[in-house]
Amino acid sequence: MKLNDNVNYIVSGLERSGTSMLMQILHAGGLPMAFDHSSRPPDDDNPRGYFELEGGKIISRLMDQTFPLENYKGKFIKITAYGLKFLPPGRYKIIYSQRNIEEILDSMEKMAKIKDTERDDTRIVFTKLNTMIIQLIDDIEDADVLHVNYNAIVAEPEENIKNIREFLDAEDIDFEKMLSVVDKKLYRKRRI
Amino acid sequence: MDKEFTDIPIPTALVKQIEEKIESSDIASVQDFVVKVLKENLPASDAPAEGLSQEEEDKVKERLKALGYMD
Repeated sequence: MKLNDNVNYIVSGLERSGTSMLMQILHAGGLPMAFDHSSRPPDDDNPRGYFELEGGKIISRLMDQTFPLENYKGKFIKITAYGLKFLPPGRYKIIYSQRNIEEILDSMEKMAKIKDTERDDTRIVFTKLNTMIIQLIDDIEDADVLHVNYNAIVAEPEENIKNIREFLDAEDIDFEKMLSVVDKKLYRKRRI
Repeated sequence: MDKEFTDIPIPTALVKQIEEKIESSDIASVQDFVVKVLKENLPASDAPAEGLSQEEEDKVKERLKALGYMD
């Protein structure tokens, strides 16, 4: 399975919105990916791994324009939502994940080992960030964006993974393996 | 969290200059002009994200640091 070498492929969404699961799905399908498990190995918060580059800390490198995006053309990489604000001009294909905001906040608190005493403010801020980034990527002239929803993927994996296959125009993708990634047992933060 | 604007005094003479300059442009107000010029002159990484106040942006960064996504 080959992707276009002139395009940067990105999986994104707010942190804890299902971006790692999406990366796992794409990896299982045989798509070219770039990630390393060494800097942030799998743990209880992401038992199958984070599928990130540089331990997920590429946002700072995007901000100071030192992240070599051109080296990752033709491969999927994960850049969480805030990092998309700093994308340089270019051709992009982005799969953007959304998830129930309460589940995101629950999962963030668990991962950061905090009890958020300002949760109402945090909800407002991350909801705004999500809206802002969606607007931003939808407005990029040379970007194709597929919006997906973590909760919907877990509930209806077949239909949603078909949408991903169509978006990538990838008939030779391993659909069954992609489906097998969606493990409802790992869906531990259900709110709806 | 709810205050998204602040007041900064600008010399009256400068405001008059801006009013004259924008008269024949599509810029609707002195405020729009000032915001436009500031955005053009701030590096993207330092400017608050569109729609987020500086305080909100700081809250995002603080949370991303707690989650290990930023140093």
